[in-house]
Amino acid sequence: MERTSDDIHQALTDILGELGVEQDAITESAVLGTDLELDSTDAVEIGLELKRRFDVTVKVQVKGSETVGDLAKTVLHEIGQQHA
Amino acid sequence: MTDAGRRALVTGIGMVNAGGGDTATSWQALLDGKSAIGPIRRFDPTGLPVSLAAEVTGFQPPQEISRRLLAKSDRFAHFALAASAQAVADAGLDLAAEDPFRTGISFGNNSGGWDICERGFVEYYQQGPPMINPFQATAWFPTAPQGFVSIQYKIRGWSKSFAADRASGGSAAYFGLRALRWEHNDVMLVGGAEAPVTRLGVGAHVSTGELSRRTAPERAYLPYSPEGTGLVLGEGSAVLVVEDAGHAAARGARVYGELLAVEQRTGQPDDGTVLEDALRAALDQAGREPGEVGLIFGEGCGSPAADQVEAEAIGRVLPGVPVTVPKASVGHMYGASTATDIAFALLAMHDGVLPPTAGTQVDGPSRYAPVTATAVEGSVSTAVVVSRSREGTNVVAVLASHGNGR
Repeated sequence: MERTSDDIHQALTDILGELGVEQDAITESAVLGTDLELDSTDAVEIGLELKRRFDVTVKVQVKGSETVGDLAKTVLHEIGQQHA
Repeated sequence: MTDAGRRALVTGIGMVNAGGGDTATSWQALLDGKSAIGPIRRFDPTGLPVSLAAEVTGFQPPQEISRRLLAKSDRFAHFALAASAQAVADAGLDLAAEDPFRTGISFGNNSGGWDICERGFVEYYQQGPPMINPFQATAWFPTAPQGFVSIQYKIRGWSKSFAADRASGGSAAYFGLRALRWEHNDVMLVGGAEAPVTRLGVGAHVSTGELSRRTAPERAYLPYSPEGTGLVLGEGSAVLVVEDAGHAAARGARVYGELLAVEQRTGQPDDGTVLEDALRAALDQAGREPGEVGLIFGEGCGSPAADQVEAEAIGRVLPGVPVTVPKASVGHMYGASTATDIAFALLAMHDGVLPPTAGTQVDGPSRYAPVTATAVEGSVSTAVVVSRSREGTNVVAVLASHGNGR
């Protein structure tokens, strides 16, 4: 099935919402570690949910400056690799 | 232990149970003789030999607890967070202004977090080991309520959690009092939490042989009755703010009563002299004569053999004193049961009323202990709470009404 960046963004919004992140805070430029205050266990859970939903293995970074938009791009890239 | 040491006052109460989501609602439901025991609704119990529980319905965690914290924790920790928030607010305690190293937690829990365990098992067996959620390890285990409450309030003083079957909450009270007497802390959150009412949780408890398999709610949990067939599981939490008397006085705290003594004795489960020793030791530590005790909150686990051992021991030390078992209304909450009973005991003394044991009228006079079917007016200045485990732990707490302490 073709996945668009909208699908990815919606999935990330759902996953972050499940983790208790306020919907208003989830923007493309929000930094996972500092702006959303995600920790390493959150990173693992996001990775597992992306695996379940898109069958991709993505290392979610909460220590650096990775944003929601960066993560969405990585997921989209991995999906592309998978189908390449 | 220096018994002549510090006095421990109860200055705040919080509770969530099947009878109500707060102290006032729970207390009124108990006085009304209502039982919250009913058919299990949270899941389909088809195939299990047990179909009844005392479930908490319509529970909403307090707004002050962040959704981030709730997402990482299990239902039993949510109950503990809710009861702690109520207790701290009830005590008028500003924990941010307290020394975090002089504030502690002593909680009981027997069986951990079953909701998160079911989720983890599904992930493990259906999706494979790498797919287990990362919260599993910190959310399921019995110290999780202590952990999440300490995170919520930045509590850093001497804190412990206790798992001792039905006496888990009793052990928490025993060490909670000692944390003040040993001068580790000035303020303690004493209580416990339990949430075993999941399909897996109930199924696992069945193997203890403790659970009633009756299907009629009004006949399911009959403390001290020859017709008892066991207990009915409850869920919820109770938390007491227990405070050094000097600390309470310095901040002008409102006082419910005094935790005079908690004693614990362990021996063979069918040996009633062990409970007798615990009762006498607790009264001695409390500086109270048996004749001063006006009300007993019994263990009353609903198994005739255990209840008879308990009732006879009580009868030898405190003959004729009325016994009541709120568990017949709200189910047995294991780690949360003792703090719930202590809270109800303090309210009973405050309001001058002896709460009933739900369902008592069904069996009439053939009871081992003097329980009542309806609430009875009565002035009580000293009350006793008994907690007993399946394997022989006996805990006895002695409480004084406000103004009748040491």
